Amino acid sequence: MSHIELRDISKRYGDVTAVSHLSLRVEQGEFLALLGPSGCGKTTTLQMLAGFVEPSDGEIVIGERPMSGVPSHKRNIGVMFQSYALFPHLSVFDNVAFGLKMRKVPSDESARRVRQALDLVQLGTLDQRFPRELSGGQQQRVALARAIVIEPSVLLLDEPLSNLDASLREQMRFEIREIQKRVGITTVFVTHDQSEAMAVADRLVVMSQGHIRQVGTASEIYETPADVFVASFIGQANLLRGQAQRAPNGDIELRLADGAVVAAKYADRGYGGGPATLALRPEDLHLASDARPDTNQLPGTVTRVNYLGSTLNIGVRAGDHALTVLAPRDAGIPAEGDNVFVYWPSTAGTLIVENA
Amino acid sequence: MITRTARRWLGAFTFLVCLCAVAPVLVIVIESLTSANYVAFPPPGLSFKWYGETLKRPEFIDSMFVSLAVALATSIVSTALGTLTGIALVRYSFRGRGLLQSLFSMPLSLPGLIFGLALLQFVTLRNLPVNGWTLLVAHIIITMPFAIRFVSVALLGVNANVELAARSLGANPWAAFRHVTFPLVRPGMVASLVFAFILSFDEVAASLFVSTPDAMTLPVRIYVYIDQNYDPLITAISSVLVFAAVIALVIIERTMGMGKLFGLR
Repeated sequence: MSHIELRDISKRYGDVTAVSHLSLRVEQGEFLALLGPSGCGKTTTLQMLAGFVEPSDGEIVIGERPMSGVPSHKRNIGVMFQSYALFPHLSVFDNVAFGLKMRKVPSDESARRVRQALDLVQLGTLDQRFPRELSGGQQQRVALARAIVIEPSVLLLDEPLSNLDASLREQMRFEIREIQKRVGITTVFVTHDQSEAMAVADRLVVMSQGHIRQVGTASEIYETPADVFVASFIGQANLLRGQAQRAPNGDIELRLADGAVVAAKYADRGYGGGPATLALRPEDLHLASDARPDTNQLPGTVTRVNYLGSTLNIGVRAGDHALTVLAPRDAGIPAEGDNVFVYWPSTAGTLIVENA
Repeated sequence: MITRTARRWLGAFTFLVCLCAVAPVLVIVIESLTSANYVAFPPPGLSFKWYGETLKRPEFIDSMFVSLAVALATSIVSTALGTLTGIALVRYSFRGRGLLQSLFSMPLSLPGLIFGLALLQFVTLRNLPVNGWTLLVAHIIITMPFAIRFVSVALLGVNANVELAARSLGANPWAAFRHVTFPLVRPGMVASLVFAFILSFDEVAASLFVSTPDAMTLPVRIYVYIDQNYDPLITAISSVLVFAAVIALVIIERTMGMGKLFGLR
């Protein structure tokens, strides 16, 4: 049995549905990211796991214990908040010791564990300071120490890095992951930053409007997005919409709105055709000055060239489509207005079919 | 951008406003130091004799104790009720919250005289005695909106997640209040205690109606006295009240800061 199970969870606030029929399993020791835009329901889901909010329907089970009716203080969880939520009237030491104090741990053992936790987050010398005297990064480390010192069964992180500046964010996400791996606590991490989620999570759960769109590893989600939302939310995507049909030789053909036809691959042999979208990553596309009839190709005009140092981000207008191409810099730098051919192998990209 | 001259004019204007507010009180304090038997400004001679006179009047001493007792009780009860109400209104959302907030603020918009009269009628029409308890009830109702306001302001300054953090760490609702919420709203509660005390001590309008010869607050006693007499005794007593108020305000400034009370800091 999984460590955490959400069974058909829903949360409604009056007419508004924040989370709708959500089912999810989290394995012991896993680092799971809940990812999505604002309002997708990821924070509400975390709040229900924490016990701050009761689900309208459905059941939450943690460690084989059903959680309905179990208040937060009895769930043995550790929580980190976006705003750190340190106790301003207590020193760093007392902040970290708080959970142990609530569990009536004797003071000498508590002191030992607090020092251990502070050393783990590299704040051993600052234990007598107060939160207002610390920087954002230091406060967040205190919050982490405070959450893990009680050795919770589950760690819940609610966008803990969103208030930090970019370089500190990158540094801290790896530190949190390191500590989590070392200690082995099942962790659920909420973020709206997809690169952050991809960098640290074992699995990602992409959510939108209260629903789960896809669950998978970073590479599964990037290479084979389940739908158009996931394709465009994670990384950049070029979306070619059209009608798919099966060619006489058995391959799938996608007829685009402007008449162009491209070949695509689709695993389901029984698929006969219908409306579909081909999602291509910018790095899948290549530019050539002459036609490449043996691959998929679309003629177009270069609309912009952004020199990014290691790569070039090139915008191409091909018929009705505004495409983004990521090219290595040694491929030659095209100029705005050049006529080019955008080509890609038929194995590239993912065909996302619309459900009948 | 405010220019230097504009700032000087603003400073002068502010000084004038403060002067107009404080001047009458200053005049009374100076008048209380007179050696004459009549009220005059400036006083012909200086003497502390009228302060001594106040000690010889048992009815004023009596009223001083009534005022002190009522003010103390009012500040404690008002703060206790105000704290509970403030926490409920700020931290919990429920149907009718807006209505309750307006209801609790209503004593602010009710003129003291009208309220006093209404309370008097309410009590006598039910054949209940009018005594010190009626006075206490009146003062509690009048000061509660302030108690609620001060505690609410203090609570709003606290990150709501802090209480959730405490809960997640194993604190049940009472422990969370005791270890986290209470220490953080304590400055608001202290300010509420002091402010309610001052308000109750100086209250005249409603107290005029619900005071009796046995339970008469000092301001009401002064008011009644002036009706018949006009001598420096009244200036001496008034000055004592002013000094007490100043001390109380200094305490508020030290514990919570006046600016924060009115949401300026």
